[in-house]
Amino acid sequence: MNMDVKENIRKRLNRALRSKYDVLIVDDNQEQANLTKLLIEEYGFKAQFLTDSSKALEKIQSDQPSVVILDLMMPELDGLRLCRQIKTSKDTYKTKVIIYSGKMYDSDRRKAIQFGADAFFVKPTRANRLISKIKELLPSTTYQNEPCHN
Amino acid sequence: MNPVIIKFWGVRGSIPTPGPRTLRYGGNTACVEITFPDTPRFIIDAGSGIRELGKELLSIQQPVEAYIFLSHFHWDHIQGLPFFKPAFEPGNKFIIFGCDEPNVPLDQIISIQMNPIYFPVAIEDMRSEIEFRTIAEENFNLNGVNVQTKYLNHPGYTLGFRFQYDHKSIVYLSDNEPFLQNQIVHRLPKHREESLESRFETFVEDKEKELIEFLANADVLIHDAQYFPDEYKKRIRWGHSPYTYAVDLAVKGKVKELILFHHDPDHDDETVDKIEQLSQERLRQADYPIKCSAAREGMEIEI
Repeated sequence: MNMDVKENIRKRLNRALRSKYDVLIVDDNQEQANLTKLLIEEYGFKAQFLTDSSKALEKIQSDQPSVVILDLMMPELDGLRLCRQIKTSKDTYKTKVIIYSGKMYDSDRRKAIQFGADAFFVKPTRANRLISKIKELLPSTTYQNEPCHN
Repeated sequence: MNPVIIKFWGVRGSIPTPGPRTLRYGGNTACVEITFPDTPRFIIDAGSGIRELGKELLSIQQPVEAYIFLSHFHWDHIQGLPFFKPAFEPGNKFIIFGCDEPNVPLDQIISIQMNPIYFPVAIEDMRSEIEFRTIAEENFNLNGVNVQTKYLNHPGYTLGFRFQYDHKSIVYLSDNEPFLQNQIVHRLPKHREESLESRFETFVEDKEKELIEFLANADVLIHDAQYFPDEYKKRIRWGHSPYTYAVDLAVKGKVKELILFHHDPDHDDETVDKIEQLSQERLRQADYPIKCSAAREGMEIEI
């Protein structure tokens, strides 16, 4: 086995072991952040939320969630800048990013995709759309069983 | 105590609209000057209206010092800057405040529109002292004036401003649209529907509450009132408001005076009159008959 493959496996194992939860929600509105967390948990995923976006990159680096859901208009650090930081940092660039914001403009959507976002939903969206996207973005090993309510 | 004076140099949205149909309200795009006692003047947005302001400042024949706040960089908010003569005169000083892009710094955002492809004079030809200061959603003091900023619902980074001097406050929300209503719904398992889904529906309410807090009790609220409600239905997601939204915010925020701003380029003077009249009626119906007028070029308000 060559060194690159070994290194890759080691990184993926580390990531799987370190990851305490599947999805991190970053939203300065605590009520909305918590509701999104509850919604995601309802479908069988582990989730956490953070309201101070300036601490998000550090938390993503240490906790290694597979998916991050970002609000756009946040005072500490806006979602677009944070998305760009996540996608350009060597420790976090593989993290999948979903923008989930009240902003409903195509130009914002295009800009988010340009900065590396994997998906963009206008808040509030249908839960099944958000959940389907999370399922699609999570590594296949993370989501093996149907959620408990089905 | 010296008054705070607000003067409107450009009140139109989207594109300048000179001509006989817009004579009374004016066709220049967004530019508002606020003069606080003992501080450099504040200029909010640099649409085509800033050109006339520049001519007046030069006529005073004294060094000009000003803070220029740019709400965002759509053409109608920056297109006058290359024609702002005081910026070309040595000895004048300006600080330009605005929100940059993650990959484009503020000075570049401004200088791009003066690239030789678009304009024959470069930003380097502006011989005054110009400092660029990047801002986001924040709160800071500037020579005794408290400045609060807030992201608005408009394409791209767009800031609203609240200026507070002593007990006098002016709120400028030029390009702003209501968040989308009734577009929900989260589909949840039956047993969770009531508890979770209904709570999600408060999103729009929460965002409006934040905005009302931002503008609450302002002496003057300058707000986007580009459309009639029927027009707005066809222009949802264009980033602007029907006058009804501006009025409702003024009522809920208990502001003392409402100025309807960012007039539609297709609205002639009679149409703007109508928006003003309907807004005043709506205020009376809400039992909140504050002073309300459509912004006009040259109009001055003293607080």
